[in-house]
Amino acid sequence: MKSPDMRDIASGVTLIAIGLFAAIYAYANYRMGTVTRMGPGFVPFWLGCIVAGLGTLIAVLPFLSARRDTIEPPPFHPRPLIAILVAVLLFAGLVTRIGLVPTTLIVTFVSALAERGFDLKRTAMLAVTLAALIWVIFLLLLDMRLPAIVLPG
Amino acid sequence: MDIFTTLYGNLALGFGEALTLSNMWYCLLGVFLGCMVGVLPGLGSLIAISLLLPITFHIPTSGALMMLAGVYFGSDYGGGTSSILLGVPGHAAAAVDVLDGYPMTQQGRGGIALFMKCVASFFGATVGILLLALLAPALASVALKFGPGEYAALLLLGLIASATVGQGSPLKGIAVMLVGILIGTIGLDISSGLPRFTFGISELEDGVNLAVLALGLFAITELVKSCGQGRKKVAEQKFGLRDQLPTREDWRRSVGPMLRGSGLGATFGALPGTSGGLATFLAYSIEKRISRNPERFGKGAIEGIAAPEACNNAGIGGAFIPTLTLGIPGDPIMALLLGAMMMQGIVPGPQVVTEYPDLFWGLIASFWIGNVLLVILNIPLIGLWVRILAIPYSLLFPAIVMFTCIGAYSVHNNVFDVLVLSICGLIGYLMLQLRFEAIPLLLGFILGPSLEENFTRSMTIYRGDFTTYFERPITASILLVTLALVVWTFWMASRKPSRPQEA
Amino acid sequence: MTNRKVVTASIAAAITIAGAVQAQDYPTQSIDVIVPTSAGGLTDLLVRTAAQHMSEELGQPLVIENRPGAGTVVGITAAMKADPNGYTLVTPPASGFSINPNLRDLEYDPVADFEGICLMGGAPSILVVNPELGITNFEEFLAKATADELLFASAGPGTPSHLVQELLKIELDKGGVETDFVHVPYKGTAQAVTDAIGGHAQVLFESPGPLIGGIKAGQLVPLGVSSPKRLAALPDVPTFAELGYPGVELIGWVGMAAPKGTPKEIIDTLGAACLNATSTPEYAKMAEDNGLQVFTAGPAEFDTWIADQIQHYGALVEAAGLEKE
Repeated sequence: MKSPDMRDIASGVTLIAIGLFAAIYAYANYRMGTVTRMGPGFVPFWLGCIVAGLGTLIAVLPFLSARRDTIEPPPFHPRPLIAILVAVLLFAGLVTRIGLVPTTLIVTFVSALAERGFDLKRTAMLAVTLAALIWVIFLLLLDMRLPAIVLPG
Repeated sequence: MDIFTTLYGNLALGFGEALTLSNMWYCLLGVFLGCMVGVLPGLGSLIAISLLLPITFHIPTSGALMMLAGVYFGSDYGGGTSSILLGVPGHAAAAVDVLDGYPMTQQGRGGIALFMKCVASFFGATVGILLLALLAPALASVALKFGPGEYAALLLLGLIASATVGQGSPLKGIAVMLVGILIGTIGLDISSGLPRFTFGISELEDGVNLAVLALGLFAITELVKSCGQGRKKVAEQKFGLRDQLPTREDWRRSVGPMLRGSGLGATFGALPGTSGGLATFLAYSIEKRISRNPERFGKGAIEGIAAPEACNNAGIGGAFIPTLTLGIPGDPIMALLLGAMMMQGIVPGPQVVTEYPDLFWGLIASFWIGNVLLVILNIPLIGLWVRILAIPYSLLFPAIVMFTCIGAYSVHNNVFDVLVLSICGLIGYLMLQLRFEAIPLLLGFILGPSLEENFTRSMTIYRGDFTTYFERPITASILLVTLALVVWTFWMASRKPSRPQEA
Repeated sequence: MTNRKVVTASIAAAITIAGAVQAQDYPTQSIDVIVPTSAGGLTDLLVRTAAQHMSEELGQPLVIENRPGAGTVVGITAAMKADPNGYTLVTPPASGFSINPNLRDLEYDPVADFEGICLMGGAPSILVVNPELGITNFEEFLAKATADELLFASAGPGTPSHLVQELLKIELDKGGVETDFVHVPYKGTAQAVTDAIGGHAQVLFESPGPLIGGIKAGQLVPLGVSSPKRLAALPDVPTFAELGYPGVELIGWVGMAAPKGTPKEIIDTLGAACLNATSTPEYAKMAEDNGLQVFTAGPAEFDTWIADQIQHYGALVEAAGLEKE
């Protein structure tokens, strides 16, 4: 016998939290209506309840049997997660303010930090190439409505 | 025999109409542009259309329609290419290609996956178009038999089937599918018009965008995962054209799935309420269930490419029936096809087939020609696409980050969608850590709103009496199949060895 | 890219055809037209047909940008925030400029935030029933409606399709006819029409465009039309005034507007071009083929029209007691 799988318990608890939140929020804010004329709260409320119920089942089952899931998740890597999410957020914050070309340069540098062994020269070359490529594809060929570069002032 | 004589006459008329040099040129233009844009993550047919729209108003109707049909097939096709090679779906429906196509790439068989996809989609399109030509009027009347109750039952079946198809526990699959439906309730409620779970953010009134969710769950998650693993362990790819050809064993495995997939796609295609990948995922789940060794699925089984791809393209022809005979477009491209017709004073309706046979059959013929062009264009391109894998991953992934961001931005030309992208990416990675699969969430999200809408409406029409579901023949039989599926799935799951040996 | 060449070529051709351009400073560049509905819809068709003529007259292309979302709110809000320099226009339909302001809190005010350019036309709604009901005229419909609960579909809450249903109910009520309609809202026109044809819903009000095919094929039975005059495309369908209910009159419309602060000369130039474009035979034919009606108005009249319509729909929303946000 092994100890119950922590990841299953965590999944169950997450589901319970999501389900309860949805059910309570829907119940408090939206009209429930009747079965014939369901209000906007009807479906989210019951969905939330079912999700919380299934969550409970998933959290409790590991204690009852020693069976395990067969997929091994990859180990947790905070570095690429943070680098890539920050890169995406930077894109969101910058692209309309400073333009697509400088944003490409910045995003390339930040996302390159996701991998160990950051190489400044290589990344700089990549950033410039990518900026040119993206300018050609999206602004010249696809005619997207984004500024190439916004000059300060 | 009579039916085949008619069929022959009709198709001859159609090809006569479609096979002019200028029409072929417009079709090729549409296919090419569709393909190229479709490969880019998040950029789909809409961008290609907005580029081509101004032209459609200046060229003859048949040429315009053929061009739009070309874009339709092209972008749909292109979306799968990046799914297979990079694990980054070009659009949401192409997420199914990630399941087995991406593992095939990791095993050095990416070119073969692309080749089989090309063959399967052509095969599916051919079957779909033949069925369409034979059964067009009949299909239209079948679609009318499906009311809200029937759609709700069918959607439930599709959701349960896709939620329990993954490698993990069926219980978690169903739970995460329901969470997908919950995410789908964000936005304006259909029956009351009131916003739900928008927390005062007006951008959320239209709900979370499907393309953005798919990019977050698959592309961002895959990027984080791959970077975390350090230097990628992608197997050596061979780049010769001969190396992209499937083996005899691949062919043997793929024939059955292609046939079943095509049949399923053609049937579901005619039901306008089921678009958005239901049939495609159903085709995948059927193959996995009837396979003698289902554990190969998700690890590079070629059947997992052949069936959904054939199904997808077989359905597109069918999807055209309601557009034309009822005047009801299923998606933006169909709406444009309709618009191009209306500009010429052709009023859509059941009479279109008899009043404008040249146009109708010409269009059907052009669907097939579009698919031929797709094959001609793409077989040589396979070698080129596979070469993308020769680029070191450390150079590739910042580019994918940028393309993904631009793709999300392009959906509404709004940075809000890029913020949603980052949140969906975070959710996707946490789900991976907790061993939740992304496909059921995506399917729940795609089909959930439709399920809620049809279920709510059916209860209004049935006057709140749920037992009506069991009194109507179609709904009752679909629900019975669903129940059988649930029982069977959990029974199979309980028989699985508790810990299979793994390498 | 080849297609860019084609676009440029066709635009160049259009300019050459138009010949000498008016001797004014405006416009010197292409004009963005935000269409707050999806491409291919009827609003979109009207606008595109008119925009083509306007491009020729103004000597600069009008570039259509479809920005659908939240029932036209997204596109209209975007236009409100644009520079009022005459290079960003919007084509609001009735729902965005006269229904939504009565139902929801919006960032924009159609009167305070926009300058009307022109009214481009629109369409009434036709009352249709599924043939299986065995109803062939409005009188039989009234008999059926008082005896039974009828499933009355609409294209969605707050759409013209829904409001005209409420209007019919109110007017019948005033006339002493008690009805028990069950409102079945759909997400858009498409599925509502399909289900009315399939018999899953029994009654529907919709604009003529999506209905004409089904009516001509006998899949839907038309009972009345909500305009003061009969439709050219369906000359046998009586108006509600003829049926004894003149109050059931509601017409959906589409117009063109610019953000407030756009110079008056520009508005007048655009208004004139728009009125010219909407009076061409091509425009009339396109409208008639699709069951639309051409009724137009210049800038000042259109401003008045908007204000009237807001009041008109507001009274209806009030009387019907619809849920507000």
